[in-house]
Amino acid sequence: MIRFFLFWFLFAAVANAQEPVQALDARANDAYRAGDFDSAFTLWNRALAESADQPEAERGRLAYNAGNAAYRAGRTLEAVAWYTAALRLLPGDADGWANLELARTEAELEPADRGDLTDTFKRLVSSTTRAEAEWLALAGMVLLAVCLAGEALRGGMLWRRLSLGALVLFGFLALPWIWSAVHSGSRPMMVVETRSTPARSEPRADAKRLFDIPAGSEVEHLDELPGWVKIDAGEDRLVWVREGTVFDLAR
Amino acid sequence: MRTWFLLFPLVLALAPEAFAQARGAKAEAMLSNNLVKLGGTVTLEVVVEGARSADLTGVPKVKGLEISSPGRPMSTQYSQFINGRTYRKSSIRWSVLIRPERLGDFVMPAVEVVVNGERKTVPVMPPELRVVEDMRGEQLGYFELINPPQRVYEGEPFTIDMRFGWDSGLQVGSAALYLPWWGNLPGALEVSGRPRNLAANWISLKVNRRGTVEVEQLGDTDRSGRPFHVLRLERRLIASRSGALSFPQSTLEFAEVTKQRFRGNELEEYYALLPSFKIDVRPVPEAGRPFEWSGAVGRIEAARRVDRRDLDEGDPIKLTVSWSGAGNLEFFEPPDLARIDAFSGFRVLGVEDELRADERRVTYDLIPVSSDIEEIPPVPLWTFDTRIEAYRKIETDSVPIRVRRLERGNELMTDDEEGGSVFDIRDIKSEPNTSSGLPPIGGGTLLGALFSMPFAWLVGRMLLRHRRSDPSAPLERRSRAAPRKLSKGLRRAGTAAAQAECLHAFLAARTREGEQAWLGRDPLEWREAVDADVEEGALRELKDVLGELDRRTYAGDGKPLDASRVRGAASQLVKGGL
Repeated sequence: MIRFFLFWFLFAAVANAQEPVQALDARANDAYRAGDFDSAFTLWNRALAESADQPEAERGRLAYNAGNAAYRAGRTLEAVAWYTAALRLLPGDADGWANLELARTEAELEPADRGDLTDTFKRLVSSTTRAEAEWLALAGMVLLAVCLAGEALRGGMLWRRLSLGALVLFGFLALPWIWSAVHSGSRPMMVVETRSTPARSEPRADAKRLFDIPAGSEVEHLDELPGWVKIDAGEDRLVWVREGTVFDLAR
Repeated sequence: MRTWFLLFPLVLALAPEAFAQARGAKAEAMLSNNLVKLGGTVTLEVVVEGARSADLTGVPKVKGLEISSPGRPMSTQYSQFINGRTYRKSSIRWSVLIRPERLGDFVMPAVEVVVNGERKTVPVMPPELRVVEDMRGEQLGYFELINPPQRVYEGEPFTIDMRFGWDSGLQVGSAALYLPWWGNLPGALEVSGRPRNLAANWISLKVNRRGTVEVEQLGDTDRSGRPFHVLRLERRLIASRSGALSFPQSTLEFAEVTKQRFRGNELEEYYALLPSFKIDVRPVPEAGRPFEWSGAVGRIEAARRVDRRDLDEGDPIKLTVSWSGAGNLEFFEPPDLARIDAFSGFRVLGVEDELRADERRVTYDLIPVSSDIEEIPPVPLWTFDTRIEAYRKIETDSVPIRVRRLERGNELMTDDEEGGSVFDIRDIKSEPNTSSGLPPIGGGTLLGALFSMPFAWLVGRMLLRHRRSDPSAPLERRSRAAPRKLSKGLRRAGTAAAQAECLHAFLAARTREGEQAWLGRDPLEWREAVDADVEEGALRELKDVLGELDRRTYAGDGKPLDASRVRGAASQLVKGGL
């Protein structure tokens, strides 16, 4: 009898640890619909942690749902971070953009897309997934190759002009790929502490407080120690902040 | 050496004039009059003659005389031709206006002029200026200030009421005002005054020789037993800083017509003076200043009005608050109802701010969020009351209202009660997103392809050009275009001769030879001769076609051959290696 219970307990523990992503997602959905946003958030967070083998679109959806749960639980700044993380996985998701802008407004942050030339360009080049960007670049490359082959075989002004046009077009089509390649090595984080986040020179509570980082700022992860994260706060300011004050946007 | 020889006469010709200009330049400064009435003006004329360049570096400063800046000079030049010689004259002239500020004798110091780069001191002639009182002007005219304020507070508006005029018996030909502070009084801002009395008569007077101003005619008034024609000019100002506001002496210039002539009247000028005066400006005290004070200063009253008092839940109501009185109505910030606790039961949709001539009118669009609300609370405004010299809260009266509850409560308002907004986040995505999307290619593959492409292109291009000729060369392009041209030519060809001509051109283009190369040539013999790698069958067909065309041209009726046969032969040749 004891053996049976022991076996059952171990089986249950293993089954619980390996609960499939779909089951966690279904439970999170139920909790959300029942108004238990904290539970829903925890479950989606777990589902996301266990969905490393899932497609980016699915992980983006889970992050988006976690953002909704955080928003409904009143943690607007955290919701902003979750939506930002979700859009890194699902860049063209209109719902994600809508919720991000709304949450940013409520968190009294500047809009993610202010509509100026820089932001529009940034949004345009980051609106594809890595794979889409690669295929787009490849399409431009094939077109360029065809034009170059035509120029080599036939010569003439027409083929030269077509090749030049294909080169320019390739430049445009390759921009999302270049953008994603440039940013692939980075690990951005967002400051989610609503009060000012003190940036310290060393990972100690009594280390010098160099300056405060405003909520919603995006910083770059450099290193970490238990309880502390080293970040690049921009302008070559490499500082340490408390672990819970920053949110990892690479999910 | 030869160049110098040619330039020498030119140098000789120009040198005397240059020397003469440097040597003969002369400068003088003259006063238009050495006697002037107080209120009048004299002109200081500075003239430099015979100079290439001149600059009036500074005008003298004399206490008691207001001397204007010289401004831009007037330059004149003319030439005369007398007895075969040319005389040139040039002059540069500045006019400086001098207006005395008090009676007395003044000595005019010399002015400094830079002539052709050389600094010169020019004495003023005559050097003395006597300023005398215009006794008759003071008798015939007057200029006074009505109830000027002795002191005001910073931000408090005040009025400068000027009355002036002349003897009614005088036939006045012209009148003007000189107000040195007009539009140029440091520490004061001009604001809109009371509305213009349309029933009164208004005339236009020149002011400060530059512009005009409308003044009100008040009719005739007795002064010292004599009737005077009276005019009024009113200005409303606000002191923008504490300290003293100094108003310099002002002048009324009027001229009596002494003699009427056909071409312009003779005038006698008179001056009536308004002495300089000061107004003390006090700062608004810091002590006791409420946090809500938004800059209102003066004796301000408040009134309110609503567009309706009986409304349904969610209906907007317009609350109009008017502030009027002797205060800086345009310079304070109206209360923000959204920040006033008493208005927490209302949602403020918008604010319309309107400045009228005598009041500041602010209209708030409010929505009562509950049917429990029974009144619009008073709207407070903190002012600094200059009469009691203390801060005072002025409030509108509250307005009783009735808000009817709707059968189905207003959902928008329910959201507002919870502090939300009409916008909300989009719902969660409950369906799993299993689309794996496009498979990644891999950055390395793409980079490899990208870098290998230019090499492949260059190598391919070189090989092609090495093995064959340059595809861009005219002969190659002619050869490629030959089938197309043949089809086009055959469509147009109406005789066998024309068809033969098209075919010959096609063959010449394909073999990269001259246009006439295939005239009378046997295709099979040509094959043998040049060892061409062309299918024999195709050449035989060509020979037949060419023979048929020649027969029709020279022995037949010249009718064209079936074009498809010619095209077929050409096509066979191309396929056969031509």
